Amino acid sequence: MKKEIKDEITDIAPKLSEIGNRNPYRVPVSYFDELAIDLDTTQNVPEDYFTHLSDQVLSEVSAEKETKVFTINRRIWAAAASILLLCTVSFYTMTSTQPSENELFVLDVELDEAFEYLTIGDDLYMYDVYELGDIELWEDTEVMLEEDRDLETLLDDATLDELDDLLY
Amino acid sequence: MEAQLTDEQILELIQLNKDGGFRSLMYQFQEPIYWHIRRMVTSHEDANDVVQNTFIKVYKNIEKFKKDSKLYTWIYRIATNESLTFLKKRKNKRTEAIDGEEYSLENVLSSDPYFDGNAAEIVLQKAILLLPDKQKAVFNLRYFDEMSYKDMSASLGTSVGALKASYHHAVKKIEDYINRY
Repeated sequence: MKKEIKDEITDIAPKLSEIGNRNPYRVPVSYFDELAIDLDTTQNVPEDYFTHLSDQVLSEVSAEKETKVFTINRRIWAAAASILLLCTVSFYTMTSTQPSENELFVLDVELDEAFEYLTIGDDLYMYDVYELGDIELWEDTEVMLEEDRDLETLLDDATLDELDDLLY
Repeated sequence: MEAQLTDEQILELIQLNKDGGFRSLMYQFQEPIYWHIRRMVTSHEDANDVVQNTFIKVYKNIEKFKKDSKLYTWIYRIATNESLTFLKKRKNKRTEAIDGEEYSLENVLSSDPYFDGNAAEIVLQKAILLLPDKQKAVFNLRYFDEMSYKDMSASLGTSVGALKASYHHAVKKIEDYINRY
């Protein structure tokens, strides 16, 4: 294990550091010798597979376009519903001096729980959002959600000690 | 074993002869990419499927590769995305409860003929299996692949600060698990 990797965890995870990073997995004999051959266009895909691939890709793109139109419409509906909800909540808040159930719930959420939800939970992450739009991550690497940018700017500016304080 | 080629050499070979150049690309990157995927999906059979999908996508999209990043971080990005998509599909197919899932993942490890970890390594792998999928990718890239945060950032499309926080959190969770078992 590289010294840099070991030093990084020795203090916070001494037992993990002792285990090391040897690879416990194995592969069948000659697997890597045959992998490239398996993927060779003449050996492992049907004849003319790549010739007809463009037609296949075009039909997939066409199907994706339909999905995207639906997604945009759904987003418009979601935005309209959010605005309506916001107006309703604002009206209620202005006319009520008692905290709502939602407000009371949010007050009970620990900071680290909120942080985990925003950064590493399964529910909100750029991969999920890309998949919602049927856009694969590697197709457009420059697009990033504003929420991710804001969060990442905060995290970029934080030192590791500050992150520790935030997490624990 | 073939000598290491630069990104420029590989891309030039692909321009001259796509299949031949692609074979060189595969020889160069197939092993690290396979191990990255294998650690994500656990079994060899699943890893083999995801590796093949990954390299077919690389083959189909190599012309779109922007030379302002490293070829290997671009391929890692595709491999990570393919692995996460695979894991999500696998989770959707599962109907077991959370306890049942953990049990079945343990079964995958104990019955895998291509796994020969010692007792401590088995505990470590079980702890990794319990991490959220994206955090698992972060931990594996840093801990096993010993990738720099800069390259991880290019591979995962996440800032260095967020990756450090995620890795730190994963290490703490794994240490807690090891202490309990």
